[in-house]
Amino acid sequence: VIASLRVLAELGVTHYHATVPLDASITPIELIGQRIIPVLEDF
Amino acid sequence: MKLGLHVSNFTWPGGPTMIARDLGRVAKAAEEQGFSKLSVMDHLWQIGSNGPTDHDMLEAYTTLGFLAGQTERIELLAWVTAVVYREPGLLAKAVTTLDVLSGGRAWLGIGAAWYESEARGLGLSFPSTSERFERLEETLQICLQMWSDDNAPYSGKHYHLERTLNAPQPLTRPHPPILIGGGGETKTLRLVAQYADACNLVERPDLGRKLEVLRRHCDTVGRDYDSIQKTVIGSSTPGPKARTSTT
Repeated sequence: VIASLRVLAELGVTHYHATVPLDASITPIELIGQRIIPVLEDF
Repeated sequence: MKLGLHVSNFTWPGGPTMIARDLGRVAKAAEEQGFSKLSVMDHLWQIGSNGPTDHDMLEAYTTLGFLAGQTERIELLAWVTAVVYREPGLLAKAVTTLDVLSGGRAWLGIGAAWYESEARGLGLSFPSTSERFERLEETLQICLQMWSDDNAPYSGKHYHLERTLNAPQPLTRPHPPILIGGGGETKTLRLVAQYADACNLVERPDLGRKLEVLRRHCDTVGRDYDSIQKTVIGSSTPGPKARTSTT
């Protein structure tokens, strides 16, 4: 996921808007927040 | 790069009686985890790529008002408003209201609309593609005029407003940011260069070319390309679709 987002960033994309399958659970949001969002700050 | 969250499905295990609780939890979690934007679709029926037409769907601006009350920092928008579903004066007022009540966190996300069976099913206007684009440009002009000190009449081909008074004005100055959805190279990206603060494209192999087209439109209208946010909407697990993009 992070590699793909890096490719988009290198193309000039500044914001990725994710459609997350939620089923009312916040677990996917927490996982993305912990594992992906901190890394994107460096892109 | 920033990350946003798009909520496009409300058919959740708890059913309609629990949507408010569950949506509030989702919004608060997104804000806490550092998502920069939170959006809902401007659809009244579920769209085919997400599920059956009769799955639960909430009206966008009512939902965004609820989300404003549940959060404190995250930016809020309809991704994207179907231009022909609301008269532009009412749309500008809705986004202004969202901006005021959210403490300056509203965006206007807007596009030319596409879900014809939804529109016709509920008796909403759905003119031809070319007319929808004409109405999109006039709507952008009307919103910008209503977000300025200019209360003069507006007279376009499709819309006529006798007095564009809008009080209070948005908290966000000079106006809430505008995102235009779509990658149409002749019309949509020209409108982005001329009127918007962000484009929205899809993750696919021609993404790089679309951005180059946007850059050329910016050159034509004298707009700083770097001042435009380049957004892509997709799944939470972006794939290799854009890897073959060429410029």
